[in-house]
Amino acid sequence: MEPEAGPVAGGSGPERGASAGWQDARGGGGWAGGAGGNWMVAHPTFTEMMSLDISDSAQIYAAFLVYLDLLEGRNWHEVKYVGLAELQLICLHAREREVDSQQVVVPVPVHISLSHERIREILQKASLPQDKPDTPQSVTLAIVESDSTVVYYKMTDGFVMPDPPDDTEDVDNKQWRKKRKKLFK
Amino acid sequence: MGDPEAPPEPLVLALQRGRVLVWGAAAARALRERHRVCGVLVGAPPRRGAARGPRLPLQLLPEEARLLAETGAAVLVPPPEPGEGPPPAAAARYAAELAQSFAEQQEAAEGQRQARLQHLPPNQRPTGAPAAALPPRALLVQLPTAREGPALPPTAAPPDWGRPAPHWPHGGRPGHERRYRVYRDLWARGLHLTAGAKFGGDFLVYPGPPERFHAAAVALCPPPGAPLALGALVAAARLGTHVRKTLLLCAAPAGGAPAYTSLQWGPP
Repeated sequence: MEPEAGPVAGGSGPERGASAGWQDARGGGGWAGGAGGNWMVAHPTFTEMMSLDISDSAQIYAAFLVYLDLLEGRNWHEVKYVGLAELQLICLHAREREVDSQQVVVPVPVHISLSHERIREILQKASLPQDKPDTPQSVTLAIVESDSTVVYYKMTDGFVMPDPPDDTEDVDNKQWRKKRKKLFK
Repeated sequence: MGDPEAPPEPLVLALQRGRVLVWGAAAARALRERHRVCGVLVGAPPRRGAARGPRLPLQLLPEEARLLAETGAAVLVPPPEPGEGPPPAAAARYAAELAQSFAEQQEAAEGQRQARLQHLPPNQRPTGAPAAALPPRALLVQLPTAREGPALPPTAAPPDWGRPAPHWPHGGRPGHERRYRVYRDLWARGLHLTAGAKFGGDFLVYPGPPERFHAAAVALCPPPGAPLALGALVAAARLGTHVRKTLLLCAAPAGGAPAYTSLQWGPP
């Protein structure tokens, strides 16, 4: 299904999406039990996404599934979609709760080939400016499988370490438990 | 500080056709404790006995060996050329020791076989001439790892890192060069790195000694433009076990600064 070459101004960047993108999908008509698979085609958000200047329809479909997963599956407070023509991707700017800051989620179908260079390009061009200047850039990659499950990976510029010292306690506890079993057999 | 048992530097690394081994126990410990180079113990464990577990020699990655050689902490020593070997008297003495050991082992094996035969009822004992209890190829050779290694050759020139040589085939290989730049950069930040093949990566990165910490990250150094297997990322996440390690994508161009991207699984 090809996107329409409609009256889209071919813009990129957050400004364009912010006004046109936000939809309240809760209580939207007819999709909760609607006409089998065709409900998606009639969904207003989906049609709007298709009209953005993005040529890869598989990526648009993935973006729609992630949009639904965040908004309906995980009950996020706000999810807006943005077309980034330079990257030829639809990104989501989303907020988990009203008090949280916005995050960038980049949906990607699992079969798409991403190189490290492409990932860094996405990181640099899709991330939002950070509140504190030293915070590294970060976006969340949402990988959409062929069965429509979504797996999220947070991508950050630089080296991020997971929390250290609890790990050493884990190792000790396991060995301690083994010893106890032996002693009290 | 001085450790009376520490071997003198530079340490000797035995190099043969691209494989680097450390035979001395003190040297292996010095590498781990003083130089933060871990290696892998690849020796065959004894079949029985209390001290089970991995054994010397310690095998180093080409990247580990090169770092040690470039920092002057160690020297790569290839095996001697024919004609360069130990003096004939020493070689003859060693051959005599081996022959003596073989005779003793044969005697012991024969004694063991007799003892086993005694336990069989008479009608089950084998008839006919017995074969040798211990064939020559079953000779057990013990190498005491506390002794001094081979003496350093007077001018141990490092291999030309950029060009392949008979004993250093990694020279000039793009994969090795890429991994080495990343290894050197991460090591210089105080991290501990080991081989990452068990987790599908190039290195495992630890914040401290691997004996005491879980790995913080799996480092991968893909060639420029190589596609990443998103399906593998999804599968790893679905298995869910211990996948909180960061996947670290590393790019270290020859002339420029290294760039790292961290991937962590988890809901946003």
